[in-house]
Amino acid sequence: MNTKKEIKIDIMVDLIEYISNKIVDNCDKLSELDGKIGDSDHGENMKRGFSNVIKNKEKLKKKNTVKELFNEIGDIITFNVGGSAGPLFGRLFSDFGNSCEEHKYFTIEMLPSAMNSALNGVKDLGGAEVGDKTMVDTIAPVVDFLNEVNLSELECDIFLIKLKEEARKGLESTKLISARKGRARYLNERSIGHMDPGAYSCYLFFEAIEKYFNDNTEGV
Amino acid sequence: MNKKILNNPEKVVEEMVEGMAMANPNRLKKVEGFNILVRSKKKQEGVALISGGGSGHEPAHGGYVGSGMLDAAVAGPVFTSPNPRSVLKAIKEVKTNEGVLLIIKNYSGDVMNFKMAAQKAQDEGIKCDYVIVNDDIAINNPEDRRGIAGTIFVHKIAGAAADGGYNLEETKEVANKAINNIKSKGVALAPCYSPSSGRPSFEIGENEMEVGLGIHGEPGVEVQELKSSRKICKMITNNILEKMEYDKNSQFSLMINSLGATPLMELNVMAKDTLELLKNKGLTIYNCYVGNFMTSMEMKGASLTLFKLDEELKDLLNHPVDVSIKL
Repeated sequence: MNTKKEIKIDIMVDLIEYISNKIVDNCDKLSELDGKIGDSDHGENMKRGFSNVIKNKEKLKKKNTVKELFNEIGDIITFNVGGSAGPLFGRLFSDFGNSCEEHKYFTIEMLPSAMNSALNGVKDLGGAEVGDKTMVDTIAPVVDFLNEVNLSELECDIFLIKLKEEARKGLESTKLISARKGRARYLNERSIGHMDPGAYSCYLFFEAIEKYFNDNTEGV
Repeated sequence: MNKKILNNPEKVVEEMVEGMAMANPNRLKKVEGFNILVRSKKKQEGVALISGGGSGHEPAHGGYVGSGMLDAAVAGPVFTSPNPRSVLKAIKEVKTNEGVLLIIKNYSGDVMNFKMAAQKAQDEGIKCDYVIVNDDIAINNPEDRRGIAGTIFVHKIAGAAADGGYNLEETKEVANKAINNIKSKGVALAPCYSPSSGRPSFEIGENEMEVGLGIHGEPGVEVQELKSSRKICKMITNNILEKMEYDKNSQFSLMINSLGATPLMELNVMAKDTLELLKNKGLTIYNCYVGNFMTSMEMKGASLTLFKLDEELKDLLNHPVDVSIKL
């Protein structure tokens, strides 16, 4: 695929809106997962945050750079999701943007460093590592894949499926382990057997990205 | 089971905060545009104290705003920490020249959001520090221990210290001394229900109780068969005393706290059992608080808190307060 193809701000906002709708649509599923190992509110919290992202769509489209765009999304999420998910998901988006600096468009070429920056931000703020049963478990395999792969050699549709599969693999791994971060850690081994809701939210991002570009045939 | 008296579940926190302010106009005022309660008359001198967290723990924390205790309480969504912007707003509303102390319960969300706000305040040149309450000894690792009903003692001690002219550093120090001397543990018999989804916070068998619950409706760390008050109080009190350093001359304050649905009738049975048990151990109970102090909506259950006192803490605990609930 052409890794240098420019994806402009308004397309990025369109994609973000699509992802946000995916989160909103999965509100009940996320809360149900949270009910098994947490306090049943992850879905409502994420819905509150991402509905606000959708509401601010026009404002977001006026942003000049990818960094400004993702910093603003990060702020909306931090201030509207609440709990620990607010700052953590907020940081994910903000730090994703920080690595894109002053670019006025996004390219696939920028994705590895953006995802590395996002993952490091989340780890830094929450202190979680791989295997702690958190959102980090979903993102880390995606980042590992991005760090190893030669992007220009991959077809776009295969690439997007691979991203989703790596995220899914990470998500599934949270089922097998007991939590060491977040409220679920109080359950000790009783958290085993359940997927982490934050890790599921992260997986939904990649599922949505794949579907978005499949539905919008112009693709990357 | 999950019937509630509400207008709109999405507005429950806002309407509750407005209601508390309207019902206590001489003590409380809502900050326009935020779910923050501050004293109706701003304190001019002394360290300002702020607490808060997710809603659903009423009277915590708005019920502890007033003379002798908190200067502001920040209410987040149900069981969800408020965001850093709200906490920062509260800091700016109540700050004094002596500075601001945040009293945070040890949950990852609360700690993250309040610390971010403290950092932002410091960046803007406001003197701001924090303490983290971790009284729930159901968790073995002290770093992971949650803040539950014992937090009210910290509000009271820090509030008295601030009134007594302690500076920010000294208020923080005495609050931390209190935190080290406060240990709690509880049992839950029935869950609470989310106002928005109607879902129960956990599932439990007819004859079971969850030991070591957290106050966000998250399940406890162990399920046991439901026992008598005497047996429950003995188990919890012994668990707490095992984690405390004390001797025959130690004096304690005791708190018997309902999680929301357990009535005063049962709390007082627990008070009798716990006080008799402590007396038989030869321990001195300086005073005892029985009631709804830190709830989990309509969760059924109770927690016990023991607070080991020294002369300084005793003096501070005796400092009069004027808040909207009886203390």
